[in-house]
Amino acid sequence: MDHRFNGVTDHITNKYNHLLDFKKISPLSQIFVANGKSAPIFRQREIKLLFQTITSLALYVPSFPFKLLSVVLNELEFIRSNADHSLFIHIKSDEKLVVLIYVDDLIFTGNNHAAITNCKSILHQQFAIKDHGVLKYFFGIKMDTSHIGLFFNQSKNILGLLREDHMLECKLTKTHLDSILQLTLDGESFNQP
Amino acid sequence: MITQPDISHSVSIVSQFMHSPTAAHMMIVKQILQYLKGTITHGILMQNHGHTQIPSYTDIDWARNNLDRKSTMGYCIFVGGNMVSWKSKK
Repeated sequence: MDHRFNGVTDHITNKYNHLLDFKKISPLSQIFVANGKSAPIFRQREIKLLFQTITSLALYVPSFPFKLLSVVLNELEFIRSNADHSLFIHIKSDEKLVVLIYVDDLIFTGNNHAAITNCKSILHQQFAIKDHGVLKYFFGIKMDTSHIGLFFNQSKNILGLLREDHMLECKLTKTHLDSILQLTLDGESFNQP
Repeated sequence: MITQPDISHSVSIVSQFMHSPTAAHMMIVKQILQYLKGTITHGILMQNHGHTQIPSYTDIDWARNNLDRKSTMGYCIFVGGNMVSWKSKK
């Protein structure tokens, strides 16, 4: 993981956001493609497409090696979750602290504000990390915190979908499906306009 | 859509016809998008309900599909009063 780009902070694109580890896709380039367990292996065309996105937008730095980070978290008495290997949990009497690692982002949550701040400052000494404050966007999902609770909303993604299909000005419907609908295989086949 | 479980059934229906879509199927896709536009401010609210019960609800339509007589099932799982997992599947 010595190859790094400069001045880059974001993930590849929204479409490749299921990815966890990195893989060098070309011996000449210094570009890493994240290729996680749940992600399909990229076809040649998609790799090209990805290259274009990377070169045009220039993104992507794994800012800390995962192994080293998990060692440091273990020293802080975090236990790695069996359900999700990028999830670390720390429980000590009434103090709960959860850290989720996603590519080059860390998400902290817990019931003790001082513990979170403490943990962040310890990690800050070991790694070059930047505090972005309260979580606002994750996976393109907007997160709003208030005294009522945590609200997830995907209006950004929906607007993107509508824009892609030129439907920003469309009329609204109250329902999304006919309740007595029975679909058939025949009918006039749809041709892309 | 991760924050709109209400459309998961209709999305699952139209995705069954993805290999050979007809104009009728595309109309449903359009209707889903229109619905999404109308519900753009909707989302999921996670609240502290003071418990950690995990109830789950499920239903099946018992071979209602008249093309191949297969069933469609759906489920949703709540943790502490907040929905965390759901699915609609043929």
